[in-house]
Amino acid sequence: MNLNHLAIALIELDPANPSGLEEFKKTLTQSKKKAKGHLKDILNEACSVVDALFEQTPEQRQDGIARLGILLERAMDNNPVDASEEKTKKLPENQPDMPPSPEESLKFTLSTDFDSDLLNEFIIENMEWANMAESAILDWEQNPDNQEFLNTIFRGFHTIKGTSAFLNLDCVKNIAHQVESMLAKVRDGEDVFTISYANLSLKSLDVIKSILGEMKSSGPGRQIELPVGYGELLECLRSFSSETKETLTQKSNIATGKISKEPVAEQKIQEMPEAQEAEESDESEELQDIQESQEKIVIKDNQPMSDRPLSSIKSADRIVESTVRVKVDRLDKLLDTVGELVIAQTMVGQDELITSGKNHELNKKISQAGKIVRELHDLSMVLRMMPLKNTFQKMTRLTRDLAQKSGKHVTCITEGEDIEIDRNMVDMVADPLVHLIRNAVDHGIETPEERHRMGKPENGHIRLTAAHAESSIMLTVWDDGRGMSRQTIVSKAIERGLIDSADRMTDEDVWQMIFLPGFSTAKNVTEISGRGVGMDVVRKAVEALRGRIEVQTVEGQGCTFIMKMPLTMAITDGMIVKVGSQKYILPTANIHKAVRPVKSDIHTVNQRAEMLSFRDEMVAVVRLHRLFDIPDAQTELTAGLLVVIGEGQQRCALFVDDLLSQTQVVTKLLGNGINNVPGIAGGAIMGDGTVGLILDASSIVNIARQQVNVSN
Amino acid sequence: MNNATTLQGTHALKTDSRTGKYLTFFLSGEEYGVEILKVQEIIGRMPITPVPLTSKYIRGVINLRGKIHPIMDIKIKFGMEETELTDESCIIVISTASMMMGVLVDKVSEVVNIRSEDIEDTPSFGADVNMDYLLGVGKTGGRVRLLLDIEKVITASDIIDMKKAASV
Repeated sequence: MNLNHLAIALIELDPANPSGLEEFKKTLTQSKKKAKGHLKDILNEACSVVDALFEQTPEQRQDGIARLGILLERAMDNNPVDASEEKTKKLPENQPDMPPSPEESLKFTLSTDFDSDLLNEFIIENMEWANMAESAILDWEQNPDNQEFLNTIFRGFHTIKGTSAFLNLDCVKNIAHQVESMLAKVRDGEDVFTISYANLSLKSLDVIKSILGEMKSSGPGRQIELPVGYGELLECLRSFSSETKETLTQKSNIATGKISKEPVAEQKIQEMPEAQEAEESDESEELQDIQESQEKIVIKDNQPMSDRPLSSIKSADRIVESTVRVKVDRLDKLLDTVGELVIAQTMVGQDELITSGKNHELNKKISQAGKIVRELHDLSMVLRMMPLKNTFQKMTRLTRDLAQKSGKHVTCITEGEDIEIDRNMVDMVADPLVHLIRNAVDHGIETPEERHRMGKPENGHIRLTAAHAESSIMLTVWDDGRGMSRQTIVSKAIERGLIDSADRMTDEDVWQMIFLPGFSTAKNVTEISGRGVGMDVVRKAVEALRGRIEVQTVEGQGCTFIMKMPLTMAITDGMIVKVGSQKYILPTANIHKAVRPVKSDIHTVNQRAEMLSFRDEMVAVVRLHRLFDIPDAQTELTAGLLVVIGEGQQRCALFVDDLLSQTQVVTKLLGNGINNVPGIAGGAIMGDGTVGLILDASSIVNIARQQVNVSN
Repeated sequence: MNNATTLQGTHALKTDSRTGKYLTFFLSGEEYGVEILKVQEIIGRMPITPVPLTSKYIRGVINLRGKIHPIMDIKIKFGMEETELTDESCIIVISTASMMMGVLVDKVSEVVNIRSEDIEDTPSFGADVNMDYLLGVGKTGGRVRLLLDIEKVITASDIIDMKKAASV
């Protein structure tokens, strides 16, 4: 342990969460033992600051941590070894600017040499690289021996460095450069992979991403604020990577010497004088390709020569898959227009002139055109789709960070990250997932000691899977933690006055209660979760996606949350229901069952309310014609149809005249001013060109309930 | 004295802003006008889908080239009879910065240029008639046209019938 490690540990200290303090103190004490003279005094002082931290409030801790930072800096200045390193580090090419001191407000002015289009492209591109590197780091953490992951991380940082140097973005370039040199040590076998490397690299990516995000909202010539902790991070990276800078360069030179394919280019990459970087970045693409193929060769070094060209071709193939960036609004416009085309085509097809069957030739032409239109429509639907990969990657990262924070060992396994969902849904899906993962790590997975006691492997698992199920997507979050206890939930519900007794509740009903607003069984509120908002938010979010959520749990063995939602929000699968002269679209996802009731199924309450017995359960009947005030509708329950909709307590039987047919419609807003009509989720253009209204099942149940309350 | 001049000042300003081209139309025999700049288009009548739980003056929604627009029956809004759909009935699509709304009228008349000196402030009729929606009365060619502040008419906050939604 040296001072650099201490500095990293310090950055990771969270003022709101004292759990990391113990670890930090241990490290500090160890360093203190080895220290001599003045250094020892400084570290002693640091120790007393740490001791005080345990008792303090988060605000006070923030000050304390800042004080520790100053002490450590002083310690580093004092440390003779570090000081000499400082000198090696200060090679002219490596030090284009001084690290900003903490007191200085960290600002960076964007160069005016580039227009905003170029800047935007840069941001998007580098965001992608950063994401790629992040996922590679997480994978690498699982198998540190896999060189390919390391190479991907390298490529990511290298490209970020190259392009940001081209744009004179020193703030990004410096970080990327330092991380690159730091990782070079691992690649060249000088150092083994440790958690500190991963932490530092991830932290750097976070900073780079937040700088990029900041840039997005400003423009050329504007000033952007650098994220908190930027200076510290850079300093930390510098000392980390400069430790053995010289040997590093030597070693890498030796390594490259082995491959004599293009030693000059390789050399250039390895040493990369900063001064030439702008120039270099012009050809960085090219160089990178060379480096890439060479890296491939390094791995397969033991293979015969003849294999080499093949492997480099293979790596080229992987990169060639090209994409075109299209502005979102243009894409949306295209999709809208195609949607209209489909409707127009249907209307033509249903025209009397066509359906009369007199114009055989015309019919043929129209049906041919119809085929093409449908194909176009299918294609346009695919354009909307995006893989879940990025979302899943975020979750893996989240699991890792949360587990570290709470001192647990958790591995996150993802499956089905290639499954694609509607672009608009990707972000909406992330919200409930974040809550579920938080819950799983914080409440679900036990501490290593506890797991050991229970005879489980110390390492907890969270599995995040996506799969297709009919025309919808199924997301599952599974953990092998402590699961939920029926007893705890029931007693909490009784305590809160939600129920009197749970004797007659099925397990499923009990689990559903955790989705009630403000319901939390967590004994103490931690930083991560426990305030009782989580599950309520999860259900709301899933419902907003027109989906459903289910829980399965076995106490002591874990918990599974299953979310089922449509693949796209743009298209609603629905049944057309008829009420009097009106027709509505009821989303299929909401429908449990439709029954044509017989008299014995219906029971009345006070001659006013009606109930349907459905699978041994009593379900309240909601008459849609009464709710929507439709005069010419069927009023005799036995002559119509009861459609059971909603979940758990919200379940009800909706009375309609009939179900007409199944349909797929494109959901549209009703227009400003009447967008939030209760009971209506939106509108859709029907085959005949009129507007059909899509029913909002959960809102209908709510209105029905309110009305009962009012009339009581 | 001072007071009087300020009053005159604001009056002149108000009159000036009312000058312009108006699209006029009939509602139960009365001729109304809306500023032509707020009119996006005039369309013939088309099937209207009624929307439940909204105020009576919202007749429903229509499909206008793939976009859904609400339709308002301003005769109901003004306390008159419900508009009867005939061959002469039209929908005037009003477009403002914040919303689009179709307005159902009995018959579209013409586009006229009304100068400020031809516009008189609306006389007061007492509490019975709501004058908030009127910019003034235009008199040209011997005809009286009621000039509507159409933005005020269509941006009503009572579109969703909360009473209906809460108790039937």
